[in-house]
Amino acid sequence: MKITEGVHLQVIPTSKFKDISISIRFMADLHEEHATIRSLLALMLCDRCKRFDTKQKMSIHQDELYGVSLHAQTLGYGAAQVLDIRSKMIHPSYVKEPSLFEDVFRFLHEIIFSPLLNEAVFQESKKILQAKIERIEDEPAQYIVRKGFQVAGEGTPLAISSLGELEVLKKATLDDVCRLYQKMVEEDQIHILVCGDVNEEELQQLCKQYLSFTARKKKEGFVYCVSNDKEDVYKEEYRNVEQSNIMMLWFTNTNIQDKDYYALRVANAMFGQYPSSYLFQEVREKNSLCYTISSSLTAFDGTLSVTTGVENAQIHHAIDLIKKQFQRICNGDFDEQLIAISKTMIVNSLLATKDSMVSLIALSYQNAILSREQAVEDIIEHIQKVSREEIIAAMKKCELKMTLVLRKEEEHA
Amino acid sequence: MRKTFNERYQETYYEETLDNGLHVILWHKPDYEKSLFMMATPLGATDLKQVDENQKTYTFPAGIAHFLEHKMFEIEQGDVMDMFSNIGANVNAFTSYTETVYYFSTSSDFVKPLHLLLDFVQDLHISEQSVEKEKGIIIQELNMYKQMSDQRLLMEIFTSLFKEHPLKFDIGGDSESVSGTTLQQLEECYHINYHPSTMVLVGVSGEDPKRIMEEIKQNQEAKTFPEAKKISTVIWEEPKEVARKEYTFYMDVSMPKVCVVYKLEGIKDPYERLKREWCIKIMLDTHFSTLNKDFQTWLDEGILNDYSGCEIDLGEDYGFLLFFCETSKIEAFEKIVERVMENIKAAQIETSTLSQLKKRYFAQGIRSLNSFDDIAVSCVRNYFQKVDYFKAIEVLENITKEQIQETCTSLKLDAKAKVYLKPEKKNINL
Repeated sequence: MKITEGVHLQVIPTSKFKDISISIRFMADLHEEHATIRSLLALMLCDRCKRFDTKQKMSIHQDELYGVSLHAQTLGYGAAQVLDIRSKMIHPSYVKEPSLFEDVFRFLHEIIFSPLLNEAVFQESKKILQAKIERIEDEPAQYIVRKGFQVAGEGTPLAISSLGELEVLKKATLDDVCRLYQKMVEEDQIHILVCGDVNEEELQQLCKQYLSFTARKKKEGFVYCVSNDKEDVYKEEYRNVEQSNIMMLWFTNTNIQDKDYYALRVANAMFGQYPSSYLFQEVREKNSLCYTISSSLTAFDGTLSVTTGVENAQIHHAIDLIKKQFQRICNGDFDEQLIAISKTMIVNSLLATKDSMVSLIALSYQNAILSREQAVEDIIEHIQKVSREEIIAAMKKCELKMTLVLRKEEEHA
Repeated sequence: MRKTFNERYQETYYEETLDNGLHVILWHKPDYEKSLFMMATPLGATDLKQVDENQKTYTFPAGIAHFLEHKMFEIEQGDVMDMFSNIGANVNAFTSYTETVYYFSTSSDFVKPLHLLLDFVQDLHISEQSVEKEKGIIIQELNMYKQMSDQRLLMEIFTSLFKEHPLKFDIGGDSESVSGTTLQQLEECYHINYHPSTMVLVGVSGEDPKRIMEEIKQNQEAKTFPEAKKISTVIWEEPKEVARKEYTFYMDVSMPKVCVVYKLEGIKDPYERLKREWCIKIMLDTHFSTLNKDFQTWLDEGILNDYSGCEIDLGEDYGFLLFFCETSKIEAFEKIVERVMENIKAAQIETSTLSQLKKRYFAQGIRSLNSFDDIAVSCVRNYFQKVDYFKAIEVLENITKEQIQETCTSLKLDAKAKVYLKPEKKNINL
């Protein structure tokens, strides 16, 4: 439902959950510098606000509202960055406090419209964001994914982390944050998503009263297919690690808006998404090279990536095996059973979407920003229709662009 | 089937113990698409020395329960994972210190995967060759955890705490114990710990519980099992002191992580245990969280960042209370912990703070009923500990200021250990 130009309310009515989830999403361009500052802003917004200007007051107020949760994070959607403010509250019927729903909206109003953007909160959040980024960089399995997108996507939105970069963070100022806060409230495309057993009329009324935003432009053109002229890059980095981590990345030339996206999803499922996949079966089960291995897609930029951890001596053996499995799908070297199993697994996880608030909100948001109304059943229908030829074609469109290895330096005798 | 309906939480479950001793709990979740089934044995990573009714003792290498968990996925007809995939279900398992759990979830029909779950858990089919092959995979898994700094910190904390208790070992053991595990040990461990009479099967599903129970009975009635042996785990004599007072290890991280941990005594009665855990948790949240106004000062002074926390864990034969954080100001952090512990021992709490925290925890408790995993795991653990699901939730409501005082003032904090994770390289400063 459109509230005003560029501001929408999506209601996902269901009575099977014990709580109500509210997600308020602000979408802007994924910009090299802004991304980090918006990530900082997300932290600051959730920390304190003018009315509850200490952490203690925030906690006490949240407890008064039966432990209502408040989180903000930034997410990448192709060439766009979404700042998501999310809150979960217990359904008022369990605590017999009919005003709880409105109280939570009043609280969200304070958070969004009267933030406490001062130097103290800024300095604290800056330290916290630095620590968050460093922690990811410290964990080899997370670091390699972050670094892999940077290396392969150089010069494209793929390379920009929606969490932020240390270099940008160092130079960030409180003014930058305030400027981007204004821009967010005035210009970002906004979606308010509410999932749970709610009265829609009451909800609309609450949105008008507590989340009243001015009209703004709708965002478009953030779905793209990453591309460049580079050949497959092989890169090694060294660190004192017990296990070598590998990330391989393909540009798929297919994104979520393309017709063959469903074929690509099935191809990915067969290749490495599930335990039934070639990667799991060949690299782990038959060759015992690793404990985890999996492939995944980024739907809004068009990439396919594989990550795994192996012993140093097995790095090249593992890479060869991964390439071979990829080639097998391209060559049509698979039986009908693998297609059927992979489809069933996808369908199962699609159906499970309906049991999770987070997934329901994600799907509803995806529909909203892509201006479509796709129910779980519609996606299932597309998946079921995918043919063997389409799977092969979708996989053949993928180009291997990068292999990144994080390993222990070889000791020379 | 015995039905339990809880008016307040609007939840229903059914339970029955079958003729072969298998206990079944079916939690009914109307309107949900998916079903989750969990089958569990109380064999955990700490059950390394067991004794049967004839006083025969069994000693196993560290990590055996976890090794067995891996090997259960192999059956005569092939690989269990493939078979679950073929019928549209996801199967997995985990081993904790106190139990081994096998589970699947599906949004398709539950019947075939349910039979498969029962069949593969109730049959062990391994060979020398397959046991050898698994060692490589398990060692890679252990290596993966070892290089995750948080996992490693936790392992070192346990090693610092315990001298004798098998909690000092990693759940998966180490590469030596894994390499040394034999086919015969695995078989022996399986036979004494996987009898239906020691196990529990939990289902959380929107499907008709009667129909589910019929399927389970049909499956179980077609099987025969040898008579059950009464197995118990030999309790270790754990000294009150910690094994290592201070321990430092190095990893490729940007900032040091510190953990201060107090070793406490275990408590036999599960409700008493829950009550004391709540009492201590309430005091921890009052003094070591944003509810304490000093918390802001600690952040501003750069002693704490967003990575800090505390935990109380009381078991039957162990207990600990720990504080952790990421900081370069280690001494200042240790001073904070001392001050917090003084406040906890003083056990003063405002009535308003107590009721406010109860509100928070109550809502968290209700929310956990959205999660199939939470429900199923709680059912498994409650069953093994002989605790009623809703009675356990209600322990919280009856907590009084007097109980908090009694629990906290009697805390003995002499056994204390510190574990430091320090960076190998220099970090970048803003």
